Amino acid sequence: MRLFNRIWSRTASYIILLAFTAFFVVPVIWLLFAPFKTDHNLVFQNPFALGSLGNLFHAAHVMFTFEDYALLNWLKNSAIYSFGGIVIALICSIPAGYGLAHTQFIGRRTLLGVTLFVMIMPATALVLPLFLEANAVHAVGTPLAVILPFSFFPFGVYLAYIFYSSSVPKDLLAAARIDGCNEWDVFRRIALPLARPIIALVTFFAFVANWNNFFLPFVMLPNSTNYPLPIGLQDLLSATPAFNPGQGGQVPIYRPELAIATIVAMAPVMIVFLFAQRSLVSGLLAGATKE
Amino acid sequence: MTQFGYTVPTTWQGWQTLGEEVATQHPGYIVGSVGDNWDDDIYLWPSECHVDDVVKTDTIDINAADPNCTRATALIDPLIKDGAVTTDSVFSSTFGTTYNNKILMMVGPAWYGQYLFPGIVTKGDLAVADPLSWGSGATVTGEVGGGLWFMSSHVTGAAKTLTASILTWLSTSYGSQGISPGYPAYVADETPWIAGQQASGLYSNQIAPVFAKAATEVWSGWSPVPWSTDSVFGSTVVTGLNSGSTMSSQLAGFASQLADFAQSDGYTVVTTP
Amino acid sequence: MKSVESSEPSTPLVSTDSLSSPLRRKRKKGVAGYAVVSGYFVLLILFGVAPAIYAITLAFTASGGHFTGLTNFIKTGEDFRFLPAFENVGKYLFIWLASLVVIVLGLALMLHSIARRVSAAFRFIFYLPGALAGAASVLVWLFMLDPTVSPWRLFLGIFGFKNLGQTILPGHLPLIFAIIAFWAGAGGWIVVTYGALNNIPNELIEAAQLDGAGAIQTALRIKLPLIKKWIVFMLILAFAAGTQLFVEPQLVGEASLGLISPTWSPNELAYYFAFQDNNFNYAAAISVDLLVIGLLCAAVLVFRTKLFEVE
Repeated sequence: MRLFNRIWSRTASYIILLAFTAFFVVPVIWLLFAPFKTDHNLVFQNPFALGSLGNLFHAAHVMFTFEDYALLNWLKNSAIYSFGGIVIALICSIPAGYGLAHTQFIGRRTLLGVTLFVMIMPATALVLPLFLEANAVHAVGTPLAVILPFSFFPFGVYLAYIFYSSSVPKDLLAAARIDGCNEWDVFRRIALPLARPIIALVTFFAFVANWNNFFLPFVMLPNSTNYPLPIGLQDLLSATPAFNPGQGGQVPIYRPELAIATIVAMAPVMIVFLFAQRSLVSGLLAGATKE
Repeated sequence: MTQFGYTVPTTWQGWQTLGEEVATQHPGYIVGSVGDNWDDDIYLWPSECHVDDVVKTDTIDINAADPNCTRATALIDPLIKDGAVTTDSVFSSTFGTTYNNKILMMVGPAWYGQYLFPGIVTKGDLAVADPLSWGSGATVTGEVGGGLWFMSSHVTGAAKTLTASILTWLSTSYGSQGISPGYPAYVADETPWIAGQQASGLYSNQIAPVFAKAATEVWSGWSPVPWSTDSVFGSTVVTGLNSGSTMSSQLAGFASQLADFAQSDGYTVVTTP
Repeated sequence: MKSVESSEPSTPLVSTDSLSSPLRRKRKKGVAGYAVVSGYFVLLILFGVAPAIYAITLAFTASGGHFTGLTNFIKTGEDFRFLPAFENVGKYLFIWLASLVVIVLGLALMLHSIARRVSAAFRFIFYLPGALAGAASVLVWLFMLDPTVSPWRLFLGIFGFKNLGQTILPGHLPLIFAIIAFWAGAGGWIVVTYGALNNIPNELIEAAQLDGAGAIQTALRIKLPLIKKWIVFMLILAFAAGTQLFVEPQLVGEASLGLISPTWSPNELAYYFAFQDNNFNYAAAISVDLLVIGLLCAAVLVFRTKLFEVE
């Protein structure tokens, strides 16, 4: 009886897990196959029918050459904003994490507390205030209006702080000081070289957050030549006859082309996911590791 | 029409009778569609329905109980029920395939011709007729689409002249108006535009007299306002239809939301019986 | 840093702040401390604190700059779009949080009771759609919800949906956004919950099994209470993020032929005030409303749970 129960519950578990696997995976598979078909195929064929390479080349050609290679331009913008934000975020957050963990100064606890607060608060909550601020200093429409807010990444500071306070013993730093290192050398020679794993982790999380960010560039960058990919996608969506026939009669972007644009938008993050699987999982847990 | 032995209606009432006959005698065929934001312009505007009438500066007349509104919805609701008027949007991706050669007639703007019908209606199978009347009073019609060009007051210097000239070109030249499926607002472009449409071979009858006359019949009781009457129509009436309700029962909600928008934009809302 | 593969409890964080270091040394260290945090501090002031203060200032003033008290909050609160927007997001949050509690915890518990290799594969698959967070996920789901092309078209047909307009009726949106949020976000939470479950000492589970507890008993009586903190953490973060909903209604609205209100969520309403009505003061007032919600969530997490290491 016990055995029967166990087999039964195990089978039920697997059935549920497989059902959810379908839920999570089918949309991705559909998306990857869509460009191989024509818009007409997508409507009238079996949704899982295979398409042809010819269709893929056609759709890719239409999508990439559309509006003077707008898609590539958006891709380039996304890369500039994301990496610009990451570089400044790293330069500021790694030393800050170290400082919070291993130095003493007045206001340290307050700074740590404020960091926690802004880290937990959703970034979206600050978007309109940031816009109002940028508008007051006439920075709206410039890439810096996106890059600089991106570079403020309190989660990165917190990750660095956790890393330094848990993985770098104070004794190690104290020993270096006794050996005659000044404070700057201690940071540069001891703490910084140890930071490699945390740099990767902060880069990963900042990259995913920046790359997929919609609201901030949406309000900051009114000019379509400045769009990053997510805003470009929305632009395509509002122009395509596939979803908005009322507005965009002349635009040659249909579902297969939209699928290609979506794939281009997600590919970098997907690639990072595949390669950084392990560190990413540990990072997800590191957000709150006090047990 | 001829094939089924019908005659083209001249009044809205005649349109409804035709719709009822089509529904029983030739199910599957349609005489109209109410499925997107712009159908208020097609059915409510020509009915002189007072929901968008700016009577004086910052005062707007919105009255859902206006008999001019209810007469239109009372006419359409039974047709929707019968299927003679579809709630599929003419812009939906499957409209063309679903109603391929199943459109007996449509009430709609002139640009349906080049924009909507190619691919749905066989070339030469399409004819145009005068806008429907309500039997008494002058025949008026609505207007779907169109818009204004603006030049920002921040444009200065040489750019100002250039901007002005491109705006002039966009709004008046046949070079830009001629390639649009939409009826040109600039009178001098009318004749060549109609000639171009006629030459496309889509139409079997002479469109010039019909279009030129209808263009002068747009009712002036719908005013340009800072909110979108169409999208309010979409988010109230059309979504109501999509969830199985009737047009008549959605009118009150439509008008009350229009009034909300008007008030938040600083208008005084009046209700003229 | 611990890996999800390890079943070891996380090492306690070292805290060896010494109070006995000589004063001179401390002052010198102080300078170094300021130096290393200075870059981040400037960013924090410019892009964290300043915008918040500026928004608060705008929220309490009129366009001329004079103080108006709570007028902007009252006016926006009375606006006919205000309550519906919060209602919409409220419904969405209810479904999304319920699915987190029931489905995410359920899946994580199932994964925790099967072979580790297999569960690792499942966890990765569940996490994968996270790569399509934001605009891309909405686009994908527009395809999924359009009965004319969806691979789920049979399923949609059962519910009687024939076109996209019928699937994305306003009444369905809270559920649809919850499904999108779940699709792109549940995987991450499953990984976190699984990690938390892994931190439960094996002895505890074995002891329970020796006492005759079945798999479900063990899950409900032993495992869940031990990861309670994580559940609270997950719910508060999801709640805080969910109140800020913007891209989903914005994009679905874009594809609905205008059938969906452009002020569906509070953030959209704030955006509408700022960009359609040019009323930055009203926009700021709603932003401050949302900011307060975010801050309250953060306060609860920081002060009420002891999840975060501050010393």
